[in-house]
Amino acid sequence: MREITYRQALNEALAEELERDPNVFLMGEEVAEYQGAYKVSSGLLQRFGPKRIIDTPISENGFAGLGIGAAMVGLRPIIEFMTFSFSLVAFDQVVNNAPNMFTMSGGQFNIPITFRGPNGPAHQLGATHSHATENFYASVPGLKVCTPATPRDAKGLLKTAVRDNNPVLVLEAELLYSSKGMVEPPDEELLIPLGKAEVKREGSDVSVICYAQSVPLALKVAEQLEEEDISAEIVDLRSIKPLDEKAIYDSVAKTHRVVIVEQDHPFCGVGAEVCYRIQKNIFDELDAPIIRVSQEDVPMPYNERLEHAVLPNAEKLTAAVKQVCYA
Amino acid sequence: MHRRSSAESSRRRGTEDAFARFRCWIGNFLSDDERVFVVKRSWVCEKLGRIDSGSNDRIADIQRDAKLDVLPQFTHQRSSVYSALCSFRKPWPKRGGLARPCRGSAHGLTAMQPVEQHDEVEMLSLMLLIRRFEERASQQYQAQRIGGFCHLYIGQEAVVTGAVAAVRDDDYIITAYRDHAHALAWGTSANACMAELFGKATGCSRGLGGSMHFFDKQHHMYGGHAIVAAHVPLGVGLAFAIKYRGEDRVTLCFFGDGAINQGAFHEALNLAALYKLPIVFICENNLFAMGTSVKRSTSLKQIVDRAEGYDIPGEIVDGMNFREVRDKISEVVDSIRKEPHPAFLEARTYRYRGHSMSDPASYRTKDELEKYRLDDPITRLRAQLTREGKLTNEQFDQLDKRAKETVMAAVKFAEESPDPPLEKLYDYTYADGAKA
Repeated sequence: MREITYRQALNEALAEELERDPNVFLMGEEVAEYQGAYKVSSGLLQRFGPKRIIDTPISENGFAGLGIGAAMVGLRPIIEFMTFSFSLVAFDQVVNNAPNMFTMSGGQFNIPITFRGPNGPAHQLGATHSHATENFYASVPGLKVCTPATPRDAKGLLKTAVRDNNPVLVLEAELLYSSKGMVEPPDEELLIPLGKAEVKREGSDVSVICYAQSVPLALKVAEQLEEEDISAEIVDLRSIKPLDEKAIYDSVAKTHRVVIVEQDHPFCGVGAEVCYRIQKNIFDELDAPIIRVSQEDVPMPYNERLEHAVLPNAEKLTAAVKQVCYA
Repeated sequence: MHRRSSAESSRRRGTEDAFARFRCWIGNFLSDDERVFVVKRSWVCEKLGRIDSGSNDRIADIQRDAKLDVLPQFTHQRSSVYSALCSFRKPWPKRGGLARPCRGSAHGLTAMQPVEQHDEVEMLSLMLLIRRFEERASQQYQAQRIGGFCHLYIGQEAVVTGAVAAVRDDDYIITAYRDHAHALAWGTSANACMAELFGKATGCSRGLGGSMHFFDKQHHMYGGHAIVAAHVPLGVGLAFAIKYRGEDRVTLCFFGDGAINQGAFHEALNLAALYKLPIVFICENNLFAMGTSVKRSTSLKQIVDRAEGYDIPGEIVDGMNFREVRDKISEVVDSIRKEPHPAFLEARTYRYRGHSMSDPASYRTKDELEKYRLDDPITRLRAQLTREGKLTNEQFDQLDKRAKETVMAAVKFAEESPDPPLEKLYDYTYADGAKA
């Protein structure tokens, strides 16, 4: 194991999959000559050439559709959105074409495509650039959605996504690109299956269910709570769809109390689905009502203080944990 | 002495050079009786104010200014002036000699004939199959055995038939929702097509797609797409894969006149031109996007001019004439196989029926419809073949009879086929069969 950044981990995943399979190519805005808007594709043009690392004009609908067409005949495109906020321009392709094709064609055409890029609120980018899109996309049958929070998960999930025979969205965490973590050495194949959550910290009093940018937040809050004798178990979903229900239920059966911390909006958010499933399937295990901590239900303001107030943060999460623990 | 600034005279020289090139080039396209006033669009605005308000004096002025010594005669017909004005498109690649039809009908509708002849007769029988299939689909729809939307191709048969006659078995096709004919032309059986309309498990999309979503992997038919223009980027993706793998296939991407004002269409054309991809964009201009005429939907006078904006060679073809469609596509497909590039063909055609089964088409006149019916693509090819002694009336009747029988058998097949099994409902959401 060695320590690398989230960005490097993604870069290694791309390079390894491009190396392994000639059908894989990377396409998107600024991925080649600019070396990636967030430098995730740094060095790939030099290594794999312009045939496989392809700059596009600003045409999300066009190049997302191009990728889907290429996938219909067996290529394995990796389509980068500069941010998933821009994927909304290609919503029709991602929602209407990619996931429907397999069904509409009676199983003749599967779409082995990966859509990836940063997702979720970053820092003071305002309403148009701060979308957390996981709940939109996870509600569409035919799509798979994963949300890595650590360099190791980023590498392992991206590699799995590229090999999956379905459209997979890898929603990266923009604020975590420079974060560091331990990852297996490059000569050791790292594949993390979709639909497998991971307990990032063991605990006994409360299960904090989180993903993406809310994972480091939850870990930080858990440390502080330890000093107050509250032992929080941190369950990182890693994949939103498929959802690892067993990992959730195992943790809830142990702690009997749940807080869900998510980066999307509260109405029809990821937490709403998780919450529904817990109460439906293991109602008797619960000792307290479930609480969700999410964004406030407003478009993201630019002002830093207001933005902090809209986002899930340590104060809100701490208060929620104490509430379910009746502490 | 009045002196022009050097910038102005250099601009002027540039314009004259462009005129000279254009004049030479357009000469290739004009027949003896066509009279076209050759002048650049910006000049018209500058000199005439409006293109239809030109007087002979002003034209003489322009002639002198632009030093157009071989100026073709001016005609006051606005349309021909306009078509010359807009013809700054890349030229369509011409090929000498006869068209080389490559792909026969996959339905075995005709007995084998000598190679030179069987292609056209076979294509005529394919047109008949499409016509009879659509008529029967209409009837079955009215009998409520077909659900949802159902868009018929009747009247447009020469377009897809001309196209299929110009390509190889391994070339790709992708189209919009008026797709029954495209599947039939590319080789999907009438049985599988009719069963799909009936929503049966034996349908070309296992009864899961319906009228607007026909797919046939075996015959390289990539759909059947119902969101207007959303499939045009997909077509570009198919072409991208061809070039990526270094193959010499071609993608034919069909869409209607309604698609050309969607963003996806424009993005797709730009990408195809930018990456030089092997694709022919075929606009089946049947004059109406649902009930909105081209005049009311499109700021251009002719659709093919969309190609000019992306530096793609474009051409107009009479979409009621099988031979013309086949030859035009054949020319450009040859050129694309040698060196990949996109091309744009506007096929002017007409649908006899409404937009869908629920549309009585009250936005157009009986006279207009009658005018096109007289120009029927099947009648036309039949007449051509009969005149040339390649087809007798008896043979034609025989072909038509066989087409009707094929379609009747397809209805029976569809009726008797089972529904898709309910217990497999979740099997076609993810390719690995996983339940999310």
